[in-house]
Amino acid sequence: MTRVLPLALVAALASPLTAAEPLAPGTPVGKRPGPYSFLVATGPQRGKQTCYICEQHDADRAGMVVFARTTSPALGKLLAQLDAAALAKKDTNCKAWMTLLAEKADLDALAQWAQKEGLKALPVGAFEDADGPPAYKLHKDADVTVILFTKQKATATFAFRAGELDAAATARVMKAVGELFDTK
Amino acid sequence: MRTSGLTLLVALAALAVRAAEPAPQPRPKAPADKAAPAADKMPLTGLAPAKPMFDACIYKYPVGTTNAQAQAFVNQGLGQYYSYVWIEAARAFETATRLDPECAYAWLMLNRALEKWGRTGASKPVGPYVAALGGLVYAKLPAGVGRNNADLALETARALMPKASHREQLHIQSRLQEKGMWPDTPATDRNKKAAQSLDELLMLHEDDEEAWFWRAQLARDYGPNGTAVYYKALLKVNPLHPGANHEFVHFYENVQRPALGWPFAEGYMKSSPGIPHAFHMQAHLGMRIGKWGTTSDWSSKAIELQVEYHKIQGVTAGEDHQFNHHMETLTRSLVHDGRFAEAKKIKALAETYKYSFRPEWLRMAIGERNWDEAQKQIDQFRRTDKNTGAYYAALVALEKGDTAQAEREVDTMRQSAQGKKGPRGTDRRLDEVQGRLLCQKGDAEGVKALKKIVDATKNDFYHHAWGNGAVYMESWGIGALEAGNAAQAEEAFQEALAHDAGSVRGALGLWALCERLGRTEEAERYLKVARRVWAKADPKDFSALQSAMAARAAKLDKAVAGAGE
Repeated sequence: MTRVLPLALVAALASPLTAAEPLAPGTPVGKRPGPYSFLVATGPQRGKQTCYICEQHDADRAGMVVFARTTSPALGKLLAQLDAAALAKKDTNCKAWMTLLAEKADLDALAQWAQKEGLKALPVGAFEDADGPPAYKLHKDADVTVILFTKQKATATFAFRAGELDAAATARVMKAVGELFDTK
Repeated sequence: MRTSGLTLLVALAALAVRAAEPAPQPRPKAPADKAAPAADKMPLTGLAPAKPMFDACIYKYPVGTTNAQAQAFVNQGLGQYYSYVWIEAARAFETATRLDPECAYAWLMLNRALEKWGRTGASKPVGPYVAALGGLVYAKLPAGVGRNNADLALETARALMPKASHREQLHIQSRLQEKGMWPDTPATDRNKKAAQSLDELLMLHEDDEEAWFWRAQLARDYGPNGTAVYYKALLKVNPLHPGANHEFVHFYENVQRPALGWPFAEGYMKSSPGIPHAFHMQAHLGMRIGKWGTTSDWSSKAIELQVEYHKIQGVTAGEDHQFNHHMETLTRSLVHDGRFAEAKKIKALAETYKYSFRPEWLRMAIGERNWDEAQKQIDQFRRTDKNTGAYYAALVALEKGDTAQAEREVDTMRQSAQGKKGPRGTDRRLDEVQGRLLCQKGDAEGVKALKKIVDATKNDFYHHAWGNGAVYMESWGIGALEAGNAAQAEEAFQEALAHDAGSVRGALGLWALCERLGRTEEAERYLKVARRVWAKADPKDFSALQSAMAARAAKLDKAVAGAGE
């Protein structure tokens, strides 16, 4: 009994620590993000099943992919910053986009949300499988996953549980975005 | 009956033209509801009167009649019209005119339905001077001259204008302007004048659903999106308008934005719960955006409704221009989803109508590994088309791993293609089986050849119709597995899933590849996708396909693939 109590205490203390550990984003740095297509809700491809990864890989261009399971103001802020970063580097033809993982796409609702968040060139859309594209091995607890890549290789990846995408987390992502364009 | 009616009609038409637009007269009370005599044929359509199918479509548009049965048949006709079931639209409208011969809107819609159905009947030719003198003279021609049955219906609507509501007068006027049968309507301004009449109507009655629909139809000349804004306006008035929803399914497919059409495909089904075409149309989009499971279920419902409809109205399959296409779509969808038991039932039904969907039946035989049935289908192909027979025989031989036989069939294709320009796609079929054959023989050039076909077709929206999205990508992936090229196989199968989220071969190919290379977590994820895609397939067929992929992946060299990681 005397041994059980400390163990239970340790377990109780350990569980919040475990929850705070960063999630594995799925696609490891250095790996090639695989082709996948999704239903685009905004921008010139609205209504089309589109594979932006394919387009970027074909020309060895950089990309910033965000997978999300819910929309939130924090996600909107991250996307707005990625949108601005991509526009600032327009000459490189880099592209940022967001794919919402949902059992059923509601493209109109998603388009309204993107408009409300003030997104400009960054398209959003839906992938109708909550697990996401299998090749990405997205963590089931990840509310938001970010994959940055260039020349067909991931340069940085992040995964956040619901509520973890705060200003500091967004800053970490944006720092990696800056480094993405320095990648030779 | 027809002659006397015609005389009256022409007299009334002449009066109508003179009187131009008199104020509508109070409608005389129509005869009390009475059923039309059964088993007789109606004069303009030559069809028996319509049987009630009042719940087939929920759309209701009140017209100028006090006869509830006539109103119900007008509603029935509109529902059928909006689903392109021209024969039933014409039948229902003519039935309505029998119940209330003074129902102007029923005559107007009978004109539209007859024209769409293409059974307008013969007309006596008129001299070219009539065209030169315009619509006023046209209306005063002797009975029957220059008029077919559709014209007669429209003339009757015109003759009834003085007794019709102002709304209906504007509807009829618009149609007459469109047809050049209204004064002061030069040929160059027909659509413009017709549109102006409807604009006046919509200015007065913004809730007039029919006016919005027909205004949309007249907007076709105003750019590729001209019609869309009017349909959107109509859907603000009635989100379940069958015509607007149906048109948007076609529209968004045509502008290559199928995902935007999906809500309208669902709206169309809700608007027309008893009309087969509504349950078919979603397949136009669903097969492009990976919604296979629901697509097959709804396409099945379309056929059930259609068989029932044939019984109710006494229609033959030959009279129903949509039936063959609906059944072929269902067959394709069921075979794609591995639902072979259901596909066989549909095959048996199709054969009773002497329909033939041989490519789908052959793919089903391959999916079931039923080589005897596959051979039967190939023999049928060979009777009429040697090249196609050899193509399918080569596919079957490759599937069985009978490389020598595949080689013979490919030779046959090469010989039959020499110096000939075959139908579209013939060259690609030869390239496909040649590529697969090279792969099976271990020649790396085969993978390149297969990828070349994919590169040539992957952005072709029309090639991707009807579930074709991943077919060549699957061949590329299977060929790459057989050639032991893990990187190309992975790329090919991922492309297959990107182009068709319901590609079971794409998912199982990746499962086999990941399993072989020890990427267990990914393998499990791909297997989950494959199981979901073929959730209604016979487990033995799924296992057979899974085993076949695993056998192909066994050719991958773990060490080499691992080094390339």
